[in-house]
Amino acid sequence: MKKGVWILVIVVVFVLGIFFWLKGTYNGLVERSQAVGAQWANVENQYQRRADLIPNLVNTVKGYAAHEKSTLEGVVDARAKATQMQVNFDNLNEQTLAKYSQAQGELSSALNRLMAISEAYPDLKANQNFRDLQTQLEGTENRIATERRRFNEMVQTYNVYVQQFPRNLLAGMFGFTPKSFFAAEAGAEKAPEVQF
Amino acid sequence: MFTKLKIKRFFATLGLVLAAVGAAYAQNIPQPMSPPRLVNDYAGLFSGAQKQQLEDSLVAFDRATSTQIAVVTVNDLDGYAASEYATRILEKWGVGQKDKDNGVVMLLKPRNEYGGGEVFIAVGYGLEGALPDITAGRIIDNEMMPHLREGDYYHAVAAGTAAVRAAVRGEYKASGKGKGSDTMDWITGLFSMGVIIFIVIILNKSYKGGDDDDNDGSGGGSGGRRNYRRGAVLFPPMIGGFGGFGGGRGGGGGGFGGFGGGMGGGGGAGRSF
Repeated sequence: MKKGVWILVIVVVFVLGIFFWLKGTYNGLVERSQAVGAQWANVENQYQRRADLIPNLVNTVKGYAAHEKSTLEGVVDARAKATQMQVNFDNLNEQTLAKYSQAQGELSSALNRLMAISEAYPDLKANQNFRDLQTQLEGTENRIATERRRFNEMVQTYNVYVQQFPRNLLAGMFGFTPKSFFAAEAGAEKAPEVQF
Repeated sequence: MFTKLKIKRFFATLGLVLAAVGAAYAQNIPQPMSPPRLVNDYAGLFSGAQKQQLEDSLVAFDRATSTQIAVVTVNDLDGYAASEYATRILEKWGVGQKDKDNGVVMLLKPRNEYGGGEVFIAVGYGLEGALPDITAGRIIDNEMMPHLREGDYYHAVAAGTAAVRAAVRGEYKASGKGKGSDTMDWITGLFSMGVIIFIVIILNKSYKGGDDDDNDGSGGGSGGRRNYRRGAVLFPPMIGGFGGFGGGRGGGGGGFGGFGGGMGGGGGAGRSF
């Protein structure tokens, strides 16, 4: 009789232990996964902020350098492509991230070309509106860089958490897989070539 | 002897490892100076008096509005863009209050053998409304650049911080935190006063008691004197303690209290010169 009670106590303690471990681990996984998602939203917000600046910028440049048609159109087209590209958090993977990065990277290089040709127009450079837009664009690029870095840091934290033993067993069961990093934009690092 | 050597070696290795870990963690972004201050002049651009003047104005602003403006000068950006360097300092040092993110970092790299001059004003999340990139950019253009072109770093920073203060004034008031510590000071003060009064009463009683005990003897005079002396010896430290409390209050308000854990997202503006 007494032995039976002891066994029962041990079983209950064991089951409770398992339950709390499962609960803690699962909630930890959800929390970190959501944090990555929230950070992804921050990244997209900053890219959107950049896209929102562009019409104004293009119009200002047009006023001084209307004949730089191809460059201006290049920016408008790249913007249209980049804004079409939205990546839902649920299908964040290497391919979608690479595509997104590619689209934004093309916009970055188109913008770089636009800013480079504006160097050739002293009136434009002296225009206060243009200078303000330039400042805002720089600020936005810096915000993008910051949020991207934080996104990658969070993915790193999440990946370590998911892959550690014994959590990895549970993570595998519930489909928490390691997430992809947001690599540098293709072509964005290259300085644009300008021909006058 | 052998074990002693082993232990020594162990601690030496431990120290090395810790130092290496610390260095790796720091990632070239400097630690805030200790004790914490708002003017971190790593490049040594300001004289002692200039530093003090800047510090005083920034600390006063911090106390009045809880908005923290940190001035950082460095000789080398270690390969970072000025924008990233300043943003990382803002994030790592936690400039501004945690719940308001009302911090600003004014980073200045002078023109020197490591390259051209760079200035960047990094703005915390909570101040992006009061100090948008355009405003930060204009502050640099209009207030700082004329001085920077002449190499007058002190006046550039003084004018720049004054303009930043003007822009963000009224955005935040000093938090309840300061007031709370004030009330805490009052409670502590009342409490210590109560304790002092209590001790005085107890002492008075024991003094009287001693006097009563020795009332009838010829040694009464000496006993009374002894008790009196004990009281007299005990009194000055208590008064000193009370005075110390007052000093503590004054001291708490004198210096910079440290960074509050604010965050920024890369907002702000910068220029090269």
